[in-house]
Amino acid sequence: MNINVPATAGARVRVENLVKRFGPVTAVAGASLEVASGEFLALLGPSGCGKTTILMSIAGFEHPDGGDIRLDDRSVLALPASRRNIGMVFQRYALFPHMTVAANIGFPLLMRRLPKAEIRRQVGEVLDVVRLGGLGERLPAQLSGGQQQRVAFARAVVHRPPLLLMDEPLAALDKKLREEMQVELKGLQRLLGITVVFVTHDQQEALGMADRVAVMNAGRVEQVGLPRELYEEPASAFVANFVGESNRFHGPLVERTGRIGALAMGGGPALRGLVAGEATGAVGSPATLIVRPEMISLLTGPTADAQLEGVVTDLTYAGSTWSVLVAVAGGLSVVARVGTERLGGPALALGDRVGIAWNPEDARIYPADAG
Amino acid sequence: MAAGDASPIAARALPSGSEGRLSAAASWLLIAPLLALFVLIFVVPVMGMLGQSAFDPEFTTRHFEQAFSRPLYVRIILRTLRISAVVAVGTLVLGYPVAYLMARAKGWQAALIGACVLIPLWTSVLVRSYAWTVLLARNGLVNNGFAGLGLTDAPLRLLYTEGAVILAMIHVLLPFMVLPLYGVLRTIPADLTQAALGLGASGFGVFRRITLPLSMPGVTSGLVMVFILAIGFYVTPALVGGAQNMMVAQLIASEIAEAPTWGFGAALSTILLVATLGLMAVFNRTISFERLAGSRA
Repeated sequence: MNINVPATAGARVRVENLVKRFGPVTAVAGASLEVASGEFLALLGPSGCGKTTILMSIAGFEHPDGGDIRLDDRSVLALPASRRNIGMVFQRYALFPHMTVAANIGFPLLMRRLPKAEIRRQVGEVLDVVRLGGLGERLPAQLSGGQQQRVAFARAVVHRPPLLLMDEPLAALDKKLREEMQVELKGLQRLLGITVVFVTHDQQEALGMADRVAVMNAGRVEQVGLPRELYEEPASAFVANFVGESNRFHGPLVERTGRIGALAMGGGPALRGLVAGEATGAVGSPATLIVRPEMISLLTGPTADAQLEGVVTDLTYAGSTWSVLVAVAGGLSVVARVGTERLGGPALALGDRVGIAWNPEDARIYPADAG
Repeated sequence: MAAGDASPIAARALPSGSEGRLSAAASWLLIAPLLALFVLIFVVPVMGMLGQSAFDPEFTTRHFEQAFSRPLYVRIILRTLRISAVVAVGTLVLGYPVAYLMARAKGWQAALIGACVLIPLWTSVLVRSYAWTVLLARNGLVNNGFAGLGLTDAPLRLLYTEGAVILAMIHVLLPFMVLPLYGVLRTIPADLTQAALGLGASGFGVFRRITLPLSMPGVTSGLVMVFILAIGFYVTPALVGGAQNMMVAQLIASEIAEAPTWGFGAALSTILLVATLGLMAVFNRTISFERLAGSRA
C-alpha cells in the first residue's frame, strides 16, 4: 500500500465542568476532560453514564447547560455543528443511502466548495487509505458492515479535521471483524495524527485501542488514566468493578494500621487490603474491598494465611489459566485465576475445601459504592 | 447494562423457518371471500364497461372517435388533466412544509398538526365544497371582506372559475399529499441530518442534499395519489366550477344520467382508466429508487 498523506496537527480538547440536563434527568453532572494533540482517548462507561452526551456536545449536536468545551484553547460552544470542523463516525455509520461511496466521502469537500477534480482526487486518495479502492461507485447498501465502517471513517477524515469523534463505531460488527477494525482504526489514527475521542461501553475495546481511558459513571468522570493505571490502580470501587474482573466484599472498616485496613464481613474473619485514597472513611464506615482474581492464591492444606475458606464449585480451563469458583460463607462466590502449572495436576477438584489468600497490598478498600 | 446493546443484532439473526405460516391452500381459502367480492363488484363491472365502450352491439371505435373529435370533449379532457396536474403540484408545494414540520414535531405539537391534517379528511367532501361556495360567492365572505377593506369596488367573480376549482380541490386533497410525505420524512434517521451538519452542510444544504432526495418516494406517491384522485373528481368541480368548468367525471355523469348514452360514457371512463394506469406505470418505474434509498444497513 502506497500511502502519502501528511499528518494533521491533532486538536487539543478541553471539556470543563460540562453539565447537561434533559428535563429532570442530569445526563452529565460536571465532567472535565483533557485530550492532548494526537491522543486517542476512550470514554468508557455503562449505558446512560453520559459518555455519548459529552461526545454530542463536543460535536455540537447537544447544547450543554453549563461548562465549556475548548478546541485548541478556543471555546466552540457558540459555533454550530457545521462550523466546528470536527469529523464524526456514528454508531450506525449514518452513510447517506442515496449517494455512492465516493459521493458520501466527497460530501464534506463538496460542502467546502472544492473544485470537482480536487474532490475526485482526494476521495480517491482516502479510498486507497481505507482499502476501498474500486468501490467508489457502489451504494452503501451494497457494502459489508466492515466496508461501511471504513466509508464512515473515510468520510469523517477526508477534509482533515483536527478532531475525530467516534460513537461506538464498532458495536454493530461481529466479534472477529470488530477486533480487526480495532487494529485498523488505531493504525489509521496514528497515520493521520488526528486527535480521537472514542465512546464505548466495551472495556476491552477501550483498553486495547486508547492511549488513555476516561471511565464515566452517572454523569461524572470517575478516573482518567492509562489502561494499565485503570486496571492496577483504580480510583474507585466503580472503576475497579467496571474495568476487568474483580471480587467484591462489602462490610464495615474495622481496623486500620497505616495504609492497610481490614474489613469485617458478616461474622467471618477480617479481610485485609490497601486503603485507597485519603478520602476513605474512618474505622466503622461502610467499605468495599476489591481483589482481582489473579491476585488470589488458593491454599489446599490447613493454613493460618487464608483470609477465607470455601468449597470449589466450578473449574473452567482457559488455556494458560484455570478459573476457579469457590463458594464461601454468606452465599458469596469468589473467582480465582490460577496458573495451570500451579494447580499441579489433580490438586483441585470440585468439592475440595480450599483456603483463599491474598497479599493485602494486592487488594484495595474503597468507600462503599452503591452498586 | 453493557451487554444489552448487542441484542437488536441478535434478534435479527433469529432463524426464519416455516413455523407459524399457513399452507398455500389455507391462504387461498382465507383470501377467497375478498377475492370473490372483488371480482363480483369490481372486475366484472369494469370489464362490462370496457366492453360497452367498444361494442355497441358490434365492435366499434365510434365512441372513442366521438370523444376525441368533438372540440368540447377534447377541451374537457385537457382541462381535467391540467386541473389535476396543477392540484397535484399545489398540494405538494403547500403540503411539504406541513409534512416536514409534522415529522419533526414531538408530543402535543405533533398531535395538533396531525389533527389539523386529519380532521378535514374526516369531513365530508360535500360539506367542504359547499363551504367554498359560501366563501367565494358574489356576496360571500371573501368578496364582502375585500369590499369592506376598500380593495374592490364591485364583487369579483370568484366562484365558477377554474381557479376556484383548483383552490377547493387542493384543499380537499391536501391530506393525501401530506400523509405519504409524512410517512417517508419520519423514517429519515436523525443521524443522517446530524452527519451532514457535522460534515459542514448548512441547514438548506441538508435539505437539498439529504432530506429532499430521501423523501422523493413520498413526493412521487403523493403526486400520483392526488393526481389520480383529481382526474376522477366530481362533487367539488360540480359545486364550485359549474358547467363552464366541467371535468370529465361531470361529463360522464351527464352523458349517462341525462341522455343515457352508455357507450360514450363507458368510452370516457376507459380514457380516464387508461390515463390513470399509464401514469401509475410511469411512476412505478421511478419507485425502484425507493428500494435503494430504503435499504439501510
